[in-house]
Amino acid sequence: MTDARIDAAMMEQLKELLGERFTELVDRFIQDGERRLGLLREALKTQDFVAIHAEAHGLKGSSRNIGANILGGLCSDLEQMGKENKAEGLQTVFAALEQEFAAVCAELRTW
Amino acid sequence: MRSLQDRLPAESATENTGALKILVAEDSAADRLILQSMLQRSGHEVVLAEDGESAITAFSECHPDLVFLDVIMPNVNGIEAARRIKSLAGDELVPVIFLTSLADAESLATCLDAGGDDFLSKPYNQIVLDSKIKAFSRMREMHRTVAHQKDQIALHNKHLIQEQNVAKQVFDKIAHAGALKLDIIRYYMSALAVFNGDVLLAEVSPRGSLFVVLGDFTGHGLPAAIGSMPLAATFYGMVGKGFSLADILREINQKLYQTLPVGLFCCATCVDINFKKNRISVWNGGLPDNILYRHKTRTYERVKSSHLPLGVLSNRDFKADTQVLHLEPGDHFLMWSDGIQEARNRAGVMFGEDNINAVLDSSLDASAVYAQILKNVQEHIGSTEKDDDISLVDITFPEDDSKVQGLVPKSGMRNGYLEDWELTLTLVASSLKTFNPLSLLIHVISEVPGLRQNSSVLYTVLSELFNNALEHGVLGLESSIKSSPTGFAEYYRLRKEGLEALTEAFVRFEFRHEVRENGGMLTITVVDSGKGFVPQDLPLTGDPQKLPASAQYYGRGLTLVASICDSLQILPPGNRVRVQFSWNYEE
Repeated sequence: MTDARIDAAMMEQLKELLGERFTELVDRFIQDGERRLGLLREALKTQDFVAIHAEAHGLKGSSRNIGANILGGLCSDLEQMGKENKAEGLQTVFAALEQEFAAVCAELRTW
Repeated sequence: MRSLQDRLPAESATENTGALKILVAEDSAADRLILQSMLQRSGHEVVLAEDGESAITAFSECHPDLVFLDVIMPNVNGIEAARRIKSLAGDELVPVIFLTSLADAESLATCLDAGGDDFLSKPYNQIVLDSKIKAFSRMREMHRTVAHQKDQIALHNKHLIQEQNVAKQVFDKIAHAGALKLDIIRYYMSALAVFNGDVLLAEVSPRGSLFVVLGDFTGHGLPAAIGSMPLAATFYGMVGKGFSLADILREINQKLYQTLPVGLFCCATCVDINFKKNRISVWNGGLPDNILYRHKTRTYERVKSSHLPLGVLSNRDFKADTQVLHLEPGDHFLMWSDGIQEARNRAGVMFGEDNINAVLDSSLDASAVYAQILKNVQEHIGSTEKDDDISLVDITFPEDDSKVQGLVPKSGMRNGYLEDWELTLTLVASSLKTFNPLSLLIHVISEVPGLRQNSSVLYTVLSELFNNALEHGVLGLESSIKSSPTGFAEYYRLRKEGLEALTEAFVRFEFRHEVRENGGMLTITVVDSGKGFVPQDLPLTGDPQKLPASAQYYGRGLTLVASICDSLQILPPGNRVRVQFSWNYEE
């Protein structure tokens, strides 16, 4: 893991693995991420910790798979809070997560 | 029989190249794509599912070799999907690998409980992925081989049972129930006892004695059962014809000694219960002590094994002597195989000698001992499956033996043994040159139960009579020729020449056998075509010392014959020798 927003080595590997389907991967990541963020936003409103845990976990996995490790870390924090039914600080972490996700998506498009 | 190869499950084409059909169930579209791409790059066929429910459906439709499951998925989560897939797979090993970044021990344990075989964490790594698949592929192959072999074993076992049942039917034809149905005999044996090597046979002799044999062959299964066949056939055949216990034992021993391989033999107790004389003759070779439990005193006597088992010694060394015990009504004779002492409980502890002695020493009514031993052994064993090896027999000496006598075979009808008979065999020149009649004659004589036990001395008698008739009578040779050092060779040269030149000659054997009270009388007359030796009737009896000096003229042969037989006569004109041999039932 590096401090970079997206691990460049991981990106190279994925491009090499997927070839023409790399764009599809990017699209899928963004679509899936947006879907999960939407579900998280709802869950935060209703304090549905099970959903928070599940969606944060899902996005964490995808983030790590594409080398978006800062995003993965934020997801992991949120996942943990969901698991512990911890309401305090949820909004702050979620806000940081949304911001990071947008940044990751923007950077992804440059690859 | 089909070969093993024919029954191997058809292998899919992909398996030969190491390529597998793999199901990937994952709700994150990006992760699904990455894993799919990695698997395809390694040459595998990939089936995709987006949630737990479609994973289960895809599994039943596609029968993948390996399954990757995300733990947290909508519509049936990964844990539950794993459980369902494992149960659908049945005996087949379908490895389930969880896709997770779950890190805590508790969650991992839940995954394993659900039947998960391994984890693959994110981010995915091609090298880790490939090596995991390779390992599981190998494991799956081994599992398939083991499962296949298990099927084979089950199949072979089924065949074995079928074959044992067939063999049991064959055995039952030989070992018909005989006298075992008598209510004075109680016994406990497993249904297929013959295959644990235990045999129980009982039959009533023509003289109304009850013969029982309990045998315990070394070994189990077919080898043990094979020995049972000649044992049963010989036992029933000979008891039915009225042979003595000693004759029967010798014959069985000889058969087993010749038939069975080294190391396979038969520990046995054989008894002959004579109801007229109130006594039991017991031969115990290698079985645990037999017990004669007294009705009146509630005490017991042991009959220890005093012989080697049947089939160990050649008949030259075999001893058939029995221990004879007096019986009174109500007495019980008990015998068992070592399965009783060695019966183990769950903890592996043997029932043992002490437990048996405890029953014997508890002054029970004689009729209760059998049931008590059986009960105690069965309680000791509990519900393990071991009680198949128990063989326990109890014979009551009854007040009234009419039921036993009801089983006495009708004289001569059932077993066709010889009673009163006559036989004449005449050998003329051509046969005298080539044929020795002694084996044939002994074979016929041995069909009389009382004569069989004397067959070796009767062989000597016949042999001497035949040689006398042939050499001195037909060929006219003088035994005095043999008295010089070179005489023997000269004698046999003359004998050979004489036989070759023989044209008109005969030797005739005349047999007559009569059954008498408690035995019988065999009369043998040998006539030859020679001119005869002495003109007058010369009755000779028993003791060779008292023979007239002239009798020596005929050589040692007739002197020996006279010593064996009750009487020996030479009838005029001296070409006719008659001997009488009487026999009594061996007791």
